[in-house]
Amino acid sequence: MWYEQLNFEKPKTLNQALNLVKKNGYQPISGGSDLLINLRQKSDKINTLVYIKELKELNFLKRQDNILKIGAAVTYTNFLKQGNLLPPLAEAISEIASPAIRNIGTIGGNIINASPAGDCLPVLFGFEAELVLKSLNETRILPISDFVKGPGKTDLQKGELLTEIRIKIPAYSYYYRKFGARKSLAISKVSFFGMKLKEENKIRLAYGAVGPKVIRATKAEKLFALGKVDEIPETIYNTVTPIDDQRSEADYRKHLCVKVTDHFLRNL
Amino acid sequence: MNLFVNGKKITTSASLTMRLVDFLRENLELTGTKEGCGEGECGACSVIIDGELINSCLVILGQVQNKSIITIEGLDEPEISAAFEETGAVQCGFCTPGMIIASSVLLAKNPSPEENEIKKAISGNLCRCTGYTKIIEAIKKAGKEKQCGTSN
Repeated sequence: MWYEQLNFEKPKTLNQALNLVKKNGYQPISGGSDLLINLRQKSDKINTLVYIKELKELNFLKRQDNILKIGAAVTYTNFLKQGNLLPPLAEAISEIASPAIRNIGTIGGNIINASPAGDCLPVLFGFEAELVLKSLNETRILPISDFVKGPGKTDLQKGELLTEIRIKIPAYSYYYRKFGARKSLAISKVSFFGMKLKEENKIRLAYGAVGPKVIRATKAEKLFALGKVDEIPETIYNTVTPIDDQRSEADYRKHLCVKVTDHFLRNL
Repeated sequence: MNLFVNGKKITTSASLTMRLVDFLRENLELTGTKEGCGEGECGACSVIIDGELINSCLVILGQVQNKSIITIEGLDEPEISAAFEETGAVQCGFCTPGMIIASSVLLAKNPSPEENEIKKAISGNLCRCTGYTKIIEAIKKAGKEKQCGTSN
């Protein structure tokens, strides 16, 4: 492979890693399952890969009361091994790619890759997860909806690493559904995460693969709170903005979004 | 850097950004590990790294320093190979090393898997010949025979 010409650094601490990734041409690599495929597009800008997946500071799962903290380099498999930390996220992860890819892919990587079809993202948008971004001199905490900008685009600054995903867990019930052409190794046509907050008359609706980034249907969410459930299908149809591509057609995706939302609402 | 392949310690000065599949096939001439898609979609390049199933096309050497890698050449699973032969689970054979590696990881964790567990375990391995029925049969058979210890 052409990238054999690149250098490789394996820092031992987060601080060492942050000192490396601020340099021009230094690209962080974690699991690498997306990066190694997409690297060619950036090949003229990169000379060194900085391996961060095994850093202790990025590998932790902590649940304190109703706050879940996930280290950015926790692999899908390791998240699933920890049992019922967050069932909807576990459900979404268990349908990502294949067992071998789940063994290397990381939750932080799914966020940084910012694919419109990234399967962790609808759940994380639904929970309004916060991301901890560290550089040598600063720590920023951003809502995921502000961090992810569009296909492959995030607000990650030069010299910054995503270190932690923070999720506040309310009392809730949920429905998650991924639509793909196959059960495994399928990039989503549509992914849906709906949650009902138990202590309030509120729902949250998040849709993946039907826009440049995950779409929260806030208008439909408000209609629910006002008791105008009848108006939700049309609102959803007009809120999602899918495209025609090799995986599916825009109109079919819109109908899927309407139907899956309807299913969620009927089973509350 | 060092790594362990099929139980042997290997010291190499190969580039740390070389893909593991290329290192295995070209530097070590272990050509049982196949490259199909090169993107993690087909599973033909599956190996076992520290007990876990991994696509060797998606890993570079720097990521496996001091780790233990098992390829099809180093896998000691006569029951699985025999079951694949006996049930006709091999046609062109290109997916077979990956299938056997994935089967071995499954059976190590669960010697008598249900059909849906087998399907999940080989869900990252594509076969374009057999339609999977015979592969699934082979894995069931291998599981039984490993437990009985009748085959060798």
